[in-house]
Amino acid sequence: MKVLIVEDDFMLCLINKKSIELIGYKVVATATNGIDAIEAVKKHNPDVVLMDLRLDGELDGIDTMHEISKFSEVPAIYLTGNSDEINKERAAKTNTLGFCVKPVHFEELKALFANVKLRD
Amino acid sequence: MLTTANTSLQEKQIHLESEIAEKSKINTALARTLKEKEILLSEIHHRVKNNLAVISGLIELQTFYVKDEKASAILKESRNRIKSIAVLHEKFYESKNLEKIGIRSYVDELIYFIKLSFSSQQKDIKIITQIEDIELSMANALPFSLLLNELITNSYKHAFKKQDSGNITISLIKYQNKLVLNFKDDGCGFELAEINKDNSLGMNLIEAFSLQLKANTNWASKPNKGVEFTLQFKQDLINSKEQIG
Repeated sequence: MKVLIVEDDFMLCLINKKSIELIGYKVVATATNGIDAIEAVKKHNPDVVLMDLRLDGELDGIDTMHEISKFSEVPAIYLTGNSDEINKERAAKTNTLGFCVKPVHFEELKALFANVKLRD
Repeated sequence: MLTTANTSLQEKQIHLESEIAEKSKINTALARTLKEKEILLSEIHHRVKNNLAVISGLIELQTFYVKDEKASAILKESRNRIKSIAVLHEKFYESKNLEKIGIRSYVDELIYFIKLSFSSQQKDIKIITQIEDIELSMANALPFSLLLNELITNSYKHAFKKQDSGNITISLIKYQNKLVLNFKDDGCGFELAEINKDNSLGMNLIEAFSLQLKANTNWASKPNKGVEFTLQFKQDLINSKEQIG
């Protein structure tokens, strides 16, 4: 399974990447902002996007998924530090498999990844 | 005389207009300061969450490189304690007033990730909850959540070693001005007199968090009869609904 990590914290991005690889999945790319994430989806066609809500730049994680959904059906698992009701409602309008409150544990990721449908 | 009065009125009008302009400036400055503080608070929250995630993530990565099962379990327990704090922090941030949280949704999340963290045991452990819609202040919520984390973890670790399935029951009710937590499992139980607290971090922490809550506690257990733990503590009235209402 191919995973794209979108996370604005460099250290956290590295840790999540390593953790995901250790549980047996392939991280095809990482991005710290929405624009790079959109490009990475076009380029790598991941099976799932691990998406931080808050990102560098003008687009947050949910805005970014709205843009991605214009050309891809890839679902997002949102990693969040502020999963308030407004964000939950906004996120529900995107292609999402759920929310994970940081710090995310690998068992939680495994459980959520089990719902991912593999793409080409 | 009319001219003098008119001049005086004009002066007063100029003075009032000047005061209004000054107050308007102050209001704008206050609104800007408030906005800046909101942004700063959001930024601090974001940093705290990410830092907790980094600490937890580093501990989790370490578990992949540890061959010893006992050491790996200790690392996972530490990681879970950090997550308990992080989820609590999240709930306070969600609550907007940053003073109190509804404990019910917190307990649900706590149970969810502890269950997942023990999923490799492949046992059918049911957790039944009856949590009243109670709000806790940060001062009470932190020791309460860590204490509950220890109780659930202890049951998963010790109670069902010789069973493939089991039940944990957790209730939190308000009785008069006190909150009463009742925690039970139907596992192997233990002889209370034989528990050596010096050798058990979990039991030590439960005792410490109970002290912090200024709570009365009671343990009841016998071999093969499960465990029951009761905790009674005063709800922090400073931030309770009663005080505000």
